[in-house]
Formats: sequence, structure tokens, C-alpha cells
Amino acid sequence: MQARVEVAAVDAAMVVFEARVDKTINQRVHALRARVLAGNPPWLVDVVAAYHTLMVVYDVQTTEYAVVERFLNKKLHGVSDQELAHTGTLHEFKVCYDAELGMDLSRVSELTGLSTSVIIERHSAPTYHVYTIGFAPGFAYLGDVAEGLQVPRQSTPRTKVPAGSVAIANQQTAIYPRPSPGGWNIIGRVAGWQFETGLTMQAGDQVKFIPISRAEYDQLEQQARERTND
Amino acid sequence: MTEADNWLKSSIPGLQIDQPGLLTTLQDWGRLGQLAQGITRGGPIDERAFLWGNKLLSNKPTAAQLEITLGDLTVTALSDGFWVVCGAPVVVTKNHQPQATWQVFPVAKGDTVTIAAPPRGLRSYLAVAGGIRAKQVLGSVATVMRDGLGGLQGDGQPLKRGDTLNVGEFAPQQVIAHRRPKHAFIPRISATSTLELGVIPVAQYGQFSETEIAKFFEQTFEVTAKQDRMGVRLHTGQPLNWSHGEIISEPLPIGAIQVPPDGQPIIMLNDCQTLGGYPKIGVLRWSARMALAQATAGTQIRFVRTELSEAQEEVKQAFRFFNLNV
Repeated sequence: MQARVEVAAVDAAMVVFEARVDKTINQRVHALRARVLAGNPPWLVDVVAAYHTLMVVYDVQTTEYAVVERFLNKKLHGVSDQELAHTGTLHEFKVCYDAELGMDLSRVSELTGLSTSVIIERHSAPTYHVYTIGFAPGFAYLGDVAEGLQVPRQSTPRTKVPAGSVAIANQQTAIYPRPSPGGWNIIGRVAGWQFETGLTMQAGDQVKFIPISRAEYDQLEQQARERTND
Repeated sequence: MTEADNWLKSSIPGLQIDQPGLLTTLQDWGRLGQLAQGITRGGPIDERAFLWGNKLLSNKPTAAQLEITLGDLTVTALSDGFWVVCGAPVVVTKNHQPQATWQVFPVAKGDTVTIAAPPRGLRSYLAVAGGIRAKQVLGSVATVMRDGLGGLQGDGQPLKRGDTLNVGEFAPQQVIAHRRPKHAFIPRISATSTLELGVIPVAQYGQFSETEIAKFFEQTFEVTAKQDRMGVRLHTGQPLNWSHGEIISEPLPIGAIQVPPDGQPIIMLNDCQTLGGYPKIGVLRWSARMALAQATAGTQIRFVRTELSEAQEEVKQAFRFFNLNV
């Protein structure tokens, strides 16, 4: 596996793979992450997988950089095709692609020349790969969005995007885990979304969006509200 | 009932916020080991002052305290106990009588304690024997506004007037009134001398040209007012030039020095995002980050290259001294 181990901080090492946003490279990152977690060395504090990098935070009181570097270099060797093909948990989310919930559907339609129904079809067809999680707790960067559906970010971010909003920007799609500012194009909303749902996703997992009608969305939202009130 | 519920239940009202000042937050050591979920650590910006507070009171090293930014805090004690204020050299009063900082003092129910705006430095820490207790969110009470996590209500909001905070029990025989560190241990905060901050080269360091590296180590940078718990923006006459275009977002460690397109570095603090998309030239050593935690706008700083082994030895010694095992 082509990668190098570097110092990232006083208490962290970074494994750096080829610098491209590419699923194959990202899967190498996740295969290494799985190996590090399985090895569970006593000094391990945290493992963070991004697109082409893996940060390993360690306890400086019980180990030193050279030990961590050796451990990581060992783990980089002999990764099997099976490990690389491993896909994490599949998360399925029911999404209502309604013009009221997906405020930017018309903008996306204008930019791509696609009708709303084709946008829905193209967006919900793939099984997305969780490249990494960041920006906010439980914010998963999913890819890749179909080429004909790729649109740039908004030049002026919205000050408040509702929680559960499904959005696209360039080759990526995501769900906003909390109400927050955001510059991605909102095309729908997950029914019954809870902040905690986002925290169940891990980098390397898979996500599938299932289109639902507004009526079904309203019903699921109602049920979710009743559950929280119990 | 979970352990965390019991932990909270076995506490008593400890203090009430009468005036929260500019920004007062509840902080423990923060949410560790959850960066992979995009969860920021949080915790005290001046870890050294925070650890001293708990040490002087014989608390657990990670016990929660108030972090007060730029003072102007008034609180009332709701039970008898022992408190200490560490951090910036502020004027502290108890019932209008001056009270030394970095020194344990007894409080009786009803006492009013004030912390004035600091003449130098930024942050004060009010620690209470037994530690402050609140509902834990994802294993911590640390307030992280950008994540909407922690604090008294668990939603990441700072403390406000009228909030009452519970404290844990403490063994009175363990607390020594008027205990203070040896004078030499109290960090000096100067607003006029140039701060030397130790830096370990990391990440894109090797991709900056020699000219840019020379600019980084030879120039003086100024701390600006554009700073919060997420990071500190610096300003310099000759901005750093990164000539390789955008980089792919990477995990972002606390203390990292990012170089955004305008070339004016940003040093990341405890509440920074878990991923960052700007090139990084280095990461601060622990003592440098602690010094920066108290650096007001206008403070001049210079970066000094530090070896990793030296930086690790420093943090090991500090954590051993404070009995911190995390």
C-alpha cells in the first residue's frame, strides 16, 4: 500500500495516501483504520479517517512516536483485496424530495437542466460511500453524486439549514445533522431525523436514500414527534 | 440509573451566576476519542491554569470548572466550600474583600465572589472543591458552542444570569485553605514582551518554499482580536504564500497552524472543526498553546522550531505532575 507515516501533532501521527478524492484510495484509508482498531494497541486514543489521510492519536505518557510509526507501517503491509472491498454498515434513509423541504430543487434543476423527477431518480439511485465525517458532529461526506447532477455550492450560504436536510455540492452529498448555516444545495429532507442518527454513521459505511411521498414524510414526522413526547 | 445519573444526583447546589460577563462556559477535560464522529474535544483553552485549580483543591484533574473569558463575573455561593481562581492575573473579591488568585479560599453559603476584567491575559478558571457537576452529553459536560453540546442544559450554550450549578462532595480533610503553588510555578503573562511559541513542523511544512519558511520563523506575528475558542487569527506584514492550490480536507489537530489563502495564519484551539482544508505549516507545543490561551490582541509572537521528542517530554512531565491519565 503506497502511504507514508508522518508526525501530525505532539500526540498524533498521520498516514498519508495519494492525494486524490477517490473511493479506491479512501477504501485503503478505511481498511487501515479497521486494522488499527482491531489491533487496539493500549496507547490508542482516537482514529480519524478523512479522504486520503488517517490520523492516529496516541497516549504520549505510555508510548512514543517511533512505536506508533512502526505499528502503522506494519499495518500498511499485506492488506487483502477482501479488506479493501469491505463495506461498512448500510444506512437507509427515507427522503422526501418536496419543493418546500428541498428549497434548492429549482436551482439544481436550472443548473443541470434536469427535471425534479430525474434529479430524484439520479440522487437516490447510488449506494453512497461515507468518505469521512466532520464539519459538525455526525456530518457525513457521501459520494459520488452522479456526474450530470453535480452542482457547485451556493455563493452565499444559508444562515439556517433545517436538521435532516439532504444536500448536494459538487461530487458530494450529505445530511445536515443539526440546524446550522450551510452552503450546499438542499434537495430534500430525511423523515424522522434525529441528531443521534448522524452519530451512528462511521467513515467507510454506506448510505442509501429512499424517496418517499410528502404524505408518508408527514406521517413519519408525526410518529417521530409522538415518540419524543413519550 | 446510569453511573452518570448517580454522579449528578450525588451533588448539591454550589453556586449561582449573578452576572456571566462576556463569556463564561462550563468546561471539563472535553470529549475525547470521538473525533471520528466529527465531535470536537472542547475543554479548557488554558489547560495549565485549569489543571492547577483542580490540583490545589485535590479534585480529580479533569473535574469541571467555569472558564471565564475577560472576567466581569459575579457568582453567589449556594453552599459552604473551597474555591480557587487560576489563570489571568485578575482582581478577585469575596464580599468586597480582595482575594488572591492561584490561592484556595473558603466560601460560606451566601458569599458573593467577583472576578474583574483582567489587566493582562484573557481567561480565568473558577474551580470548586468537589468539582462542578451537570448532565453529561457524550461523556462530558464541556461546552462546545459550535457543536451545540455540553454546558448546563447540554445544548452548548454559555452560562447566563440565574443559572445554578451543582457541585460534588469533597472530603474537607483533603482541602487545604490558602494552598497555592510556589511562586515560580505561576505563569507570567505579559502584554508587552514578544511570546516565543515552540512549533513542530507537520503536514504541508515541507511543501512551503524556503522563502516562506524563512518568513515564518523570522517575522513577528501579531495576535488579532479575531479569536475565539475555535482559533486565533494572526497578522503579519508579509503573509505566507502557499503555491500549490487547494488541498483535500484532513483531520485537524488542536494547536495546528493553518495558512488560509490570505496568508495570515490561524492557530486552532480546542473548539476547532475536526477536519480542515487549509495547508498547515506546524503545530504548537503544549506550553506554546498555553501561552497563546492568554494572549490578547496586539501580543507579538515569534515561532521557534521545536523537536517532537522535546515537546512530548514536556507534555509527559506536565501530565504526570498533574496526575492526569486520559
